[in-house]
Amino acid sequence: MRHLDFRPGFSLLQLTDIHWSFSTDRVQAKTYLNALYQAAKANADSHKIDLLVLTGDSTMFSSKEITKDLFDFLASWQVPFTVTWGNHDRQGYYPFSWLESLLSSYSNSLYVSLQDQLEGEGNAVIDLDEAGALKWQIYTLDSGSYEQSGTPLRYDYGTLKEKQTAWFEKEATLAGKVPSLAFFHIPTRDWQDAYAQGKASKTKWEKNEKICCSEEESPFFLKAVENNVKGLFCGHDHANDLTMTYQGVVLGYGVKTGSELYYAKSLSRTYAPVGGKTSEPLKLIGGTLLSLHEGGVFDLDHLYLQDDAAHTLVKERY
Amino acid sequence: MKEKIALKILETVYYPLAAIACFLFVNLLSSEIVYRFENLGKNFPFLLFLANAVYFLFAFHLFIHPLNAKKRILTAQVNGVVLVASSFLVILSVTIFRMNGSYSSLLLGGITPLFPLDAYVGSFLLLLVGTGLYYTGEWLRKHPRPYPDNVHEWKGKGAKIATSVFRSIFVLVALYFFGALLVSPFLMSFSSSHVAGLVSFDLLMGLPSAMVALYEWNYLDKEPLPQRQRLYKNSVITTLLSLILALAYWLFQALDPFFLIDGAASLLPLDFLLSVKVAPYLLILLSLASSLIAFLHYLDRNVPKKPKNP
Repeated sequence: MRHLDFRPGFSLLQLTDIHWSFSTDRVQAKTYLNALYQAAKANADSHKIDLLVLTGDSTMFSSKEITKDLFDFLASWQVPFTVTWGNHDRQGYYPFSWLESLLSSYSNSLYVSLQDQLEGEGNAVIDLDEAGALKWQIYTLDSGSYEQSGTPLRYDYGTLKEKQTAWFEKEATLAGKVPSLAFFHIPTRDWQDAYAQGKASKTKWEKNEKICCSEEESPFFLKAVENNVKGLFCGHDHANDLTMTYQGVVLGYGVKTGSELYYAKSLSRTYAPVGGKTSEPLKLIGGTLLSLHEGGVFDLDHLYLQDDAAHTLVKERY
Repeated sequence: MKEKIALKILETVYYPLAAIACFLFVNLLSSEIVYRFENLGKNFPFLLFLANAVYFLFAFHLFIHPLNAKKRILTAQVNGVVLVASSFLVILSVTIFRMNGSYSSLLLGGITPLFPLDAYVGSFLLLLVGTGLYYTGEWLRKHPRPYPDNVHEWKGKGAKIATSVFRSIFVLVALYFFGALLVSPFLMSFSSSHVAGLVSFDLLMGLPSAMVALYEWNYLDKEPLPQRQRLYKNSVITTLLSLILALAYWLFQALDPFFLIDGAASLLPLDFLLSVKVAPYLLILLSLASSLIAFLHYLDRNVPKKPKNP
């Protein structure tokens, strides 16, 4: 169990799919990440970030040296941070145990490598307390990477499983079902169902690519609804920033962080670059900023930080 | 023959280095492709260095196994020049990148901890090797000496080309997976639940290279009569090995479906980029196909049959 101090306006920054690799220009990428961090701080209620959550695929085609460089850099912000694993984090030149021990080594890391019997690694909960009273819980879950598909010779994507869901339910019950948020990498099928069947009570932002979820249903969403979860946030599909409210729970894609690998340019939204004369299609890159308040209320902002020379910021609220 | 054996030993010693180069080349190239060649400029010298390291193995093999003395000289000189020119390009690129600040240091790190110093030093060595190869050709031109040529039994030019292409592809696949096998102790996550499956997959990754070794040391340069008998024996052995390792793969896949996903994702980039099981089936099919071709070759009447009792 990990604790952080809560106060109204507690700010949580979600970064996802950073995708550093052998092919990354790390000097340029660090400049972008720093600009994003400064923009997030400037837009947070108290001008500071209280918790940084990385929702997977931080690296792919990476070595120990590149991976350590990224996490050293993020840890140098001196913000408490934690990580959920994506499907590509294991595709580096290191054993996974090395990656876990690296993450556990930072003094401001909240990542824990538990030898539990749950599916995936690093499933954990962070309690946000105020004057001894538990106000919020933040769940970080491993949605796995790949598994056997129903189609021969193919791999399917992972999803949140029974044991993880049972563990979450137990923790939420013990905590008196205080409001909570959950972060993981691969969207569950609920994203697809809510979108395709038009069941969401509110929908904002864009779906520019297929919702790449598992073929398998996850039991997590139903239990999340029952246990006062206010929002589920994932990454994985870089071109989607779609966010919906479904059965009272926000299902959100985090904004893809940085331009590594691939990202989408909006077909409907434009921005005016600082110092530029013409508007350009908005690049769906940046971060997701959440401000948590009393009573299970939270604000959700997408920070679209462009990779132009001035790092133009476009902020949109859900 | 002593000279040829000495050269074959050198080739065998060099093979693991070429295998690691091939493994790194495929991974770096895959990274560049999926990242839309965003950093190709900086990685180009290293890619070229790795390609040169693999190329040298092929050039050296052709030098060891020439069709005739004239071709041996030509092989040495042409490949020597290509290796020198290509290695010089790497050295020049690294020097320019270092001088213009694209490389802030010769020990930037990245795909290897020594990048790009390893490409720089390695290319100097390959430049020396290429120079040596060229002058060996020159020396052989001036001082002809007896050397055992290779005898091939191709039926026409089409068969020759098809054989050359298939063998090259087979060796490249064998090199990649042997490289993966060599680095696997450092990259695989050998948790106790996956260890049996991963060890069996390591053996499967080593099988094509074992077949290359068998071909090199237990088939080539043998007299025609024992060569035919060896072909039969080798093809039966490799077919059995392929089938055993294929069965082991299917068995472990059924018992522990996550053994490759959790343990070997970094070794099989295409599989986990495309979400398709490329590697296991490529290894199984290539090993079985190659064994079958060897067996069909044994049945070919062009190869002298064992004479009846005199």
